[in-house]
Amino acid sequence: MLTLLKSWVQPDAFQTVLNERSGRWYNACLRITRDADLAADAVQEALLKAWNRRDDFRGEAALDTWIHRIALNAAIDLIRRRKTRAEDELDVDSSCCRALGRARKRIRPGGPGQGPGGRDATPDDAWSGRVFLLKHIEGWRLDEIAESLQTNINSVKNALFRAVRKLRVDLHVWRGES
Amino acid sequence: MISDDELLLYYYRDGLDAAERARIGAALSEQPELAQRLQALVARLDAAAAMPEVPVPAHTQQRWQAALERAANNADDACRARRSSTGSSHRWLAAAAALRSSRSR
Repeated sequence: MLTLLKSWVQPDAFQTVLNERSGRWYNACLRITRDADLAADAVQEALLKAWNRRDDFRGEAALDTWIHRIALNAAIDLIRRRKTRAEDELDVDSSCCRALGRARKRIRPGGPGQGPGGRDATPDDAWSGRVFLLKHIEGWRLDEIAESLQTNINSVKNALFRAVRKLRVDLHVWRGES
Repeated sequence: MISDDELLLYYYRDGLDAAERARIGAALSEQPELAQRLQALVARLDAAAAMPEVPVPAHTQQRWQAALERAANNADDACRARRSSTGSSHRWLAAAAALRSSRSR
């Protein structure tokens, strides 16, 4: 992939990291956004930022870690922007908002913050699920998650506990346990 | 009684102060059933977090490539523009110097 880059990307590290790690960045963003287009947008944003700062990086590991982090933050930002836009549109008719809230609550809960088929159970569940993924898979610190989600550590802790409690219930259901 | 929430934070080594960490660490070494609870909790979380990786769609890779190529071309153009503007300012300076010397003569 990106063979054309070879001609003008000064550090080979950029090309190597891009070829080897873009799948990992994309999957990380996909887990957070649960939307292929948003995940692709997030990685693209991170790639362009990295490209603009390519001279600052020494070594592939630093570049990989940096792009991974920026892509995840971009993914979170894209979800937030989309949510705000959707809410703005719905503000025109607040009855639509109430209807959406009721509809969301009717969706049966599924995995970490997800209903069956990848749908969000409720907006709260979705954010709890994201907190869980950022903590358990990405290994972010609670304060880093709080900063990225623009909230405080206690809210992050509570979201994490909620996601884990929900997981426990759902795993029992999936396994047919009472 | 140590809750699952506390066990979770202990496992992540995050969100507990030193005294709380020490208390839970001591309890874990003294109570095998608590250690088993932690183990089961972590196994459950690992199982829930395990998701298959999906390949990046070809059209997405092409999109990234196009975006990076555009960025590189823009950088190239900006570089060329800088060079040419520097060149023209050199020409202006040379012209101004020539004018000055012709006036002084």
